[in-house]
Amino acid sequence: MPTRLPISLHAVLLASSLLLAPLAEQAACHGEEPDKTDTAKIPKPESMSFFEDDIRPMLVEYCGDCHSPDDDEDPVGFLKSMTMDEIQLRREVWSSAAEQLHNRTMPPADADQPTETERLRLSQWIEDHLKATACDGGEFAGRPVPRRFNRDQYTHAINDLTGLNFDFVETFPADGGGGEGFNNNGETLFMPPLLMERYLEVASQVIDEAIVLTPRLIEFQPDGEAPIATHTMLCSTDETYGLSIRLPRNVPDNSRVQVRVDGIVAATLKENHRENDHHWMTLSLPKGQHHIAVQFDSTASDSADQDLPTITHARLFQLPRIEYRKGQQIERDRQKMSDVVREFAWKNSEAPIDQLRPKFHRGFEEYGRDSLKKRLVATTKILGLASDDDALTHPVSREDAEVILARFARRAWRRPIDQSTTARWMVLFDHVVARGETSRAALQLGLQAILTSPNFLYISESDSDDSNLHRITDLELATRLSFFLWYSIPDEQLLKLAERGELSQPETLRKEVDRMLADPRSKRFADAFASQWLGTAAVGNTVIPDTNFFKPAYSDKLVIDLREQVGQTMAWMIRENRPVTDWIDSNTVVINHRLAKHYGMETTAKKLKDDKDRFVAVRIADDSEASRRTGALGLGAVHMLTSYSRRTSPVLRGAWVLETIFGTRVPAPPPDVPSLPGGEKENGKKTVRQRLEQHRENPTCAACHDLIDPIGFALENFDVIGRWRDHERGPASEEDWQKKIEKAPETIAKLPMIDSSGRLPSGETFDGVDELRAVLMARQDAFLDEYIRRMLGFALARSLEEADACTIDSIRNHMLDNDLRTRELIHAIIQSTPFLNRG
Amino acid sequence: MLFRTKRASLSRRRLLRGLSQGSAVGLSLPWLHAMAGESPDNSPPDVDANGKVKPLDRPPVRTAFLFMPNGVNPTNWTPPQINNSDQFELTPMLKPLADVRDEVVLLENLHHPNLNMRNGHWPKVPAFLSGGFVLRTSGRDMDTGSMSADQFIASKIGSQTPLPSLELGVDSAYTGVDNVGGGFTRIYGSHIAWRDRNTPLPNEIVPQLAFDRLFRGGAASPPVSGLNLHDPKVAKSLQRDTTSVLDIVLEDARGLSRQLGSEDRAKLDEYLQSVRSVEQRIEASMKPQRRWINEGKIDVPRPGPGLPEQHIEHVRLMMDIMVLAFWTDSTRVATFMMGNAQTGRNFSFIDGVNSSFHGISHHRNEPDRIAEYERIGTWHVEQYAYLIDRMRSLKEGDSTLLDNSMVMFGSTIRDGNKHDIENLPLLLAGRGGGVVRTGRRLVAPEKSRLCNLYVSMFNAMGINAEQFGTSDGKVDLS
Repeated sequence: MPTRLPISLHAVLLASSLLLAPLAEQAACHGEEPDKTDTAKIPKPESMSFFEDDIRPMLVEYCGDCHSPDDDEDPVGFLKSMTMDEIQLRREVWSSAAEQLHNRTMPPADADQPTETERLRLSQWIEDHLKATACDGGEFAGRPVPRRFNRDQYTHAINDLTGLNFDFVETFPADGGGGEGFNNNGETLFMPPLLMERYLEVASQVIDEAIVLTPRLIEFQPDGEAPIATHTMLCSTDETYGLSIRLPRNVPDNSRVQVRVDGIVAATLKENHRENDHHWMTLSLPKGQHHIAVQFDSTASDSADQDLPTITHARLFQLPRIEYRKGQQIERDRQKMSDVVREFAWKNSEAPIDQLRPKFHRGFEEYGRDSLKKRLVATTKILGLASDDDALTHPVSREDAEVILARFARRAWRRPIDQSTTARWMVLFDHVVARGETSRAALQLGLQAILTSPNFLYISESDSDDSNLHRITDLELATRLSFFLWYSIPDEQLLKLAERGELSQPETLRKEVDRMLADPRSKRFADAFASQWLGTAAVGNTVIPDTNFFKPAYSDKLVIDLREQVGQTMAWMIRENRPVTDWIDSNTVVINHRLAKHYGMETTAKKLKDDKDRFVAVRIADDSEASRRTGALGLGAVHMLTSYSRRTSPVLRGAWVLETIFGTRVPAPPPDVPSLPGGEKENGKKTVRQRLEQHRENPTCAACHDLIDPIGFALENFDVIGRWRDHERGPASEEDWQKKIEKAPETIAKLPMIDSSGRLPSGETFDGVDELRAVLMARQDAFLDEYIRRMLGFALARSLEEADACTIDSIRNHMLDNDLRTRELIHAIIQSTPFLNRG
Repeated sequence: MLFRTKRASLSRRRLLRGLSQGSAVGLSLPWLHAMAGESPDNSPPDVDANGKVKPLDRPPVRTAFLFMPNGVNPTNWTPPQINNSDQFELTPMLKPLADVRDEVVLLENLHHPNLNMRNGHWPKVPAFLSGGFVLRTSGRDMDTGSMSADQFIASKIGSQTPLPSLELGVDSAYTGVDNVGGGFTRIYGSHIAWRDRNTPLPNEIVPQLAFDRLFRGGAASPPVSGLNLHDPKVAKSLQRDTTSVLDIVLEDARGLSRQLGSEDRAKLDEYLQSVRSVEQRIEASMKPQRRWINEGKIDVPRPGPGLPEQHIEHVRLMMDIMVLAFWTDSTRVATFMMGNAQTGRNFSFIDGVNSSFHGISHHRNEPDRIAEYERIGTWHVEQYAYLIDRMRSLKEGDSTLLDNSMVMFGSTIRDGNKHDIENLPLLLAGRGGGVVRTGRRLVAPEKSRLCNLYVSMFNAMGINAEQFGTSDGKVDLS
């Protein structure tokens, strides 16, 4: 099967068994003989020299003027292939030639055109030939380019490394996508300077969060002869401190205390700030060196001539961080924290500082609450502390630092780290220690370097220009696996197996893949793959209904549920190892309470009312309303995706089914085709169906719409936001409609019924979504190829090429031998040549 | 409770603010001066007797490109010709320019020749500033035909400012491939700035991040006040932190590169280039550049986190940040995408509008749909007028920021219903330092090339260029 599926509808009509019959009708329309090629099977050429005698001369006639085989400078040069064997030498160009013929993008409009029959025959022959010879070229693996993590992968990797729960959705720009349509596609992930800047910053923030530095408690010293208590400090992180000052006895009541930070007056503390001869203020100091000075204010008018005493007691207490929350809360929390520590400071102002420290650390941990606890768990993990070590104060030696950096880098870089590499980070470590920071703080730069390195940020595989097809290393395989199935870095077990060279042994690999799929992290794969394959990731983002119009039925919560259902369904198919065709038809619906209500599945909704968030698999036997909701066609997210902002669109829905489920490339409408009269709104007089019927009276339109529209009609019972409806509702907004039926429920019955019947050009008729499913199930071959192609593209994170056709072929065979099981597809992809090799 | 800790607490920002007349903009300036004092040894001629780098003696020319998706209603855009006059009436869509019309040139008959009809939208976005033929691809071999005009400018003068260029937007980049639309990666539809013909530059859409980026030197946090450094050695050491990290990762990248095939190496080059660009920024912040320094203040507070809920607030915040960047001479070239291609954003916050921009742009020549479509376009012109007015209100010596700028606004589609590509709806505001004669319509010969305008704009910025993209001449701006 060619990987670049033909774009032209006509070609599709030919290429897939889905639509064999309509070709006949189609060709007949054009007044020509239907083609007799049996495309379901590999075609038998009329003679051994059919290509040389028939096909090639025709191509020379229409294409040879520009693409002369004698023209050495023509980069296309497909006609240089004189024999069928030589087609193998330039399959990619030939595939493109077939596509361009289908598309009518070649020959150019001002050149002689082949007849319609010739065009079809040429393109079809090429397609069939390429398909039949897909595996003749020997094994092909391809060479994925080094690809940086996309935003989601970066987030998961950081969270898996630290055990914390960061969200970088608003920190990094969204990733585009390409290749087979996924945002992990290497060729379309770039590293602009803006991103580099952000990686540096975010790495530093992550480490700041993950490594808790031992909190500081500092006693000020008198500054030489001057009556000032000062402290010069180097802050390794941005922190807030409380400054506690105890005044000497017998200080005049009106004396003021001045606090300077880096030479600037930060505060002048007056009498009314004083309590029992104590002052207190908070200071937020950024990372860097600071000089803090405390003295009596000699500029105050009546104390000018007096000989002011020196302040001998000034202490700085680091305050636990306040977890950032939206709104006002944060100021109040900050105030509370300050009060608590102030109490502590004043109560203990007699205690010598060294004795106070352990007590302060205990208090700090207590006041820091949950957010500090979480950070300390991360600290314990990264520093490799034993469970009974005190995570807040446990000392880190230089030797420890070396081990910590190497261990962290091994996980982050997914490979063993040699000593010379660690040595470079130790240079940074020594540099920071030398200027007076603690060894914990000195780890920061090395960790930042690890997280900003291309060895972390990129998935790349060693290779050379002159290499042939070869195995990737086990470590490279571990990374490919984990970024495919977990969207993140490998865990310890994968790394260990890879380091021992055991991972690539087929049985081990299979066992590991099953283990990975059973791990909750595989939900990330389910989400990323299914939401991008079906396109539902866009729902609520770029595709959004008219929210005012659909209030109150529409809500953000609904959209989140609708999107979640897609990933949950995929996760269930993996977990239960369902046949992949469950996307078309299934005996089970994966759903939660709110969606069951939204979908009108009352029985299920009642059952699930105790836990409204949880998604469960409901068998259709247990709920009479459930059968409508099975597979992709029952997903509200899909209905929303394929609607306009106020009305459903049979065209969008039909095209979506052809495109997403069967990989049919529906062509964009020709530029001169008139559009659907009547606009976006239901205009009350005619239904969309009636207007489309008019549209199809034009044969140009009918060519495509005869195929697209009937499928869409069968889905008409689903409204814009995915609810079931039996009646056309007209142009009323949700709110108006609700009022209307509340007042007069009987009006519903008077409204016209939805007509969800359809007839495909090939003759099958159906009424409603359940019957459509049966018709689509009969064409599962095309679905299978498309599904394999998409998941393979996702797994390899590259565009597929013509040469991947052979791999798809062998995966399909494996699937057919294994009841089309989802996990078998994943296994087959992972054990395939391109997944295990390069070249 | 005795203390009002809130007041007494001392944040870094407040410290900095204390030194700079209470304006957020002051952030970069004191540091700049402080740093300026530090390197008297390699004294180029633009350093004064005290070793301080002299600021520029006249304001530089700044350029901005504003992109609007989905086109306009042509009949209410282009005014009727008044015989032999270069004056024009304000058509309904141009009405918002009433107060700033003297600052604006209405550009006519410009287009890009290579925007054929393969797809209504995707290729027309990168082509806005590249002028090139945009290759149809699902992403493997993206090609916009040329680097974009803003990046051309950045490549020539970007090193003279802390940021070579600024890319702003309001929509997240799109994901995936539009197969129904002919197999284009949607990346095309989300980017007008292209570092080279294959590499897009993402837009910053979060106001706070865009704002902070202007005031970050790139080096480890600068000394808080720039004063009273007790230990210069420690301060120097702190400053070297980021560059030391970058040195190491650069080494990593080179090591990695050696293990790769040549195609892979080319991809990894992006990383090397970006590290160098960050390094240059840090270096530039240590060794001050000859920049223009405006007296006074500008009132642009630091935006809150996240995306503003109201679209108009979002657009204006991004515009303010662009103005701030120009005014502080943090960059001299910027792009702003007021929407991605086919943006489905709902503009029902405008009176008389219920639809999404792209949806309604297919108006089928139905009067009520056209009216709605036109309102959305007119709203965009209003925002443009806001920007012009804002820049005009900022004095720069004897002139204004606007006088020293060129702000182009437009779309690469004329009528959204037809996706047509000739006589594009374009406006240019600002006098480009005196080069541009404003307050008129500039009617180029039919089917003139938009790239000709870009070449003339380059020249106005003092960049020597005779050709760019598909240009075959210049546009007379005087």
